Amino acid sequence: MTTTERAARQHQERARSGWRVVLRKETADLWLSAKGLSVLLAFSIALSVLAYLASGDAAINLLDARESVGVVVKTAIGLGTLTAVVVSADAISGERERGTLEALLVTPVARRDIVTGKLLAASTMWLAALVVALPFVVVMADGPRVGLDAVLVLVISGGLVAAALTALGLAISSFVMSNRASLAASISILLMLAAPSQLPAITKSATLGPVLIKANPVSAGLTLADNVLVKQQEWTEQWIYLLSPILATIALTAAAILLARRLQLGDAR
Amino acid sequence: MSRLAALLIALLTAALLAISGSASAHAAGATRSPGTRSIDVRVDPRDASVKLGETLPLHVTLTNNGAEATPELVLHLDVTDPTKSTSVDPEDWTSTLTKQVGAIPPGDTRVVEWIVQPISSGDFVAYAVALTPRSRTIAASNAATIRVEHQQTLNPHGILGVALGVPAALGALLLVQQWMARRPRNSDQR
Amino acid sequence: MTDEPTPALALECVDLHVRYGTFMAVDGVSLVARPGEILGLLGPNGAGKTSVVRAITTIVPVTSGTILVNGHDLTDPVAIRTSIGVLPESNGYPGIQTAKAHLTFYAELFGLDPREARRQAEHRLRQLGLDDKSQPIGTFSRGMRQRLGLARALINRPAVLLLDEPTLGLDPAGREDLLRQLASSAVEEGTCVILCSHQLDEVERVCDRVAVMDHGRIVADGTVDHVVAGSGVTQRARIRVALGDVLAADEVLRALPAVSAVEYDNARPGDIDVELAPVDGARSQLLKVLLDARIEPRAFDFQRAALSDAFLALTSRGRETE
Repeated sequence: MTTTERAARQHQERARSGWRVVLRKETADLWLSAKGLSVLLAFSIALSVLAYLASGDAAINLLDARESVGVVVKTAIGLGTLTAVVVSADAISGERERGTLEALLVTPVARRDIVTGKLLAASTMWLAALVVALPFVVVMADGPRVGLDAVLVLVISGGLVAAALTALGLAISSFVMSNRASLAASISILLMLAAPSQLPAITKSATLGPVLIKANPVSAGLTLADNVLVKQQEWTEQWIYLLSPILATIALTAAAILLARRLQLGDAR
Repeated sequence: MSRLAALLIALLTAALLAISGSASAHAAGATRSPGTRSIDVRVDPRDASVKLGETLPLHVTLTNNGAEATPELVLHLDVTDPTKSTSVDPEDWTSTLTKQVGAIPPGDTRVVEWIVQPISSGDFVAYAVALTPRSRTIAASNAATIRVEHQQTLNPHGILGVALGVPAALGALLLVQQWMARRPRNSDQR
Repeated sequence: MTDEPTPALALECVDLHVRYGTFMAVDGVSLVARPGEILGLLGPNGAGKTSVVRAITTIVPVTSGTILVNGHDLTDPVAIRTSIGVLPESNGYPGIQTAKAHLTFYAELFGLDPREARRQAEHRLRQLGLDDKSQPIGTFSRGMRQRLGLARALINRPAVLLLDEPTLGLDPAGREDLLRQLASSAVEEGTCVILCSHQLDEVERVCDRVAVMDHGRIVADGTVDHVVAGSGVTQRARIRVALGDVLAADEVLRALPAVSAVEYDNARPGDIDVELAPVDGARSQLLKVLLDARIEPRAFDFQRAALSDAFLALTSRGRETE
């Protein structure tokens, strides 16, 4: 093997493992700093208040027990996704604003590896939110005996919604120069996508309403939670509601990684 | 003339008798159908007291005291708070307010049960009405009084432990982390 | 980092163009730098220095032209980035990390395994005098951060080190310290250093060569003396001779092609003020012609044109103030 070939192989090996180094560092930064735990604490407090109120309502029959589980699962999906989006929307634009991006870009690590590492690190936020949400869901689902369904909805539907929106936040963070704009855009999109599932009367009365609900990954994921946990529909009938979250996860992850090639410092000229 | 007077008196007497018979039949209309039909509706317990969040079984007994079988009957439960002008939504107490009873043979009895769960405290009245789907015949029950006592549920469905424990654990973790971060790193300084 | 044979040129840019939309930030820049050489890249704000650095570091796209870094061209940006160390001007640091963790992370990004990365980080921290600093970077002074930045730029033993305003905001002692480290890296490790700076005195002191940029172009390139000479700024000398030698001195001095004017100070008879074109070796030429004419100077004060004078003359700022 010639020196040039050896150097080329070294470069390839570095390119392959670069995302792991970025992932390790970003995950450590997230969880060894106060950031990750603070966001998670806020998430757990919000979920605690909601779960307590929903349980109280269910205890006096103001809310059906299944419905109370549905409310908590949907909130865990929505807020858990929000925590991951807050991290991913800051991932690139935050580095850009703090002046740390240039030093990262001049290393041999490929930009897609930087983005991949950051995407996976931001996803740990969702995983942590999932772990925090599980005890709430398990305790609440014990009454109506929907524990397994609730956990499956949280893991599958929530996981897909969170993955799609985390990738979206990172993609926005890659090309939006201001960190504030990146966070505002990502959170606004999440809220807009979640809104239709909270307005059933409007969306169901329109002819295209049900189609739009299914096409929108967030509302599809939340509707699936309702269907399985509240309306007691079979899982086999729900595949249509998983379609758009799966497609959105694939498309947005690909977009985030492809956009990495065009990653700009932002202050050139 | 005297014959005409006697005829008029006879006609008036017959008319008065007919009117008085009809009036007495209408007066019995709340519990008794025209002719020989008679349905008795009773809600038990007549007085009950529950705590908010608890369930209460209400038994409604229908008895056919008439000589004929009743038509198909439907039993409807209603709850009201007679002391307040605000309405009570009985659907909050139970999801099924109307139950099919069917026809009751003469002398027979049917018992229908409702499990209700009050959602607010106060004094309420529950009563049931039996009606036939196609006629206006209604038989109303007695009014059962239900006192719902307010109860603070501190730990609904055992959620309190999780609701307090999870944020507390995370808060503690955060404090430990901050303490560790501020601690001088002796190992690094060696 | 690589064991490839060292090319004769560490850096070669030929007819480099970088365009941002309609604005041509770099307009035909050609540069070379050898291993172990410290090249000062000078120019007023907006001259295109940072764009040249970012083109070399592959983070802004080159519109046209070629770049060779340690023998690697732009078709292999990963190889280029493996060969360089960069201290950017807008340089931020993660406030919560320690210097060691920060350097270890960067060493790993350059492909070192974790143990080797830690070793390399400790070595660079020791070299830059930061090995006893275990507190988070957020508590570091500006000088400590710049030294950490230099340590990070050196973490991969780069063939080409690009530094954009490395001494900005440092006190004199901090500047001296950093420049000393820089010079020793160039000498001991054979690193080619590209130093972008507005501190012309320090450039004059540490750089082997300078390239002056203005409006995206190189307007002067060479040794400091060569650049000063080519800038057209004059040099001055005050010579004191015996009163009897004044006429003879006047004659030989005016005969020198470099001398543009000879003046006398009436208050100090025997003092001659000479204005010279900025040619190399002007000082020795003056002394030589005087001694050849058997005129012994009683005092000789030569004021060479400074790089700052040349810079002002060469760049648009100089032209604007004229």
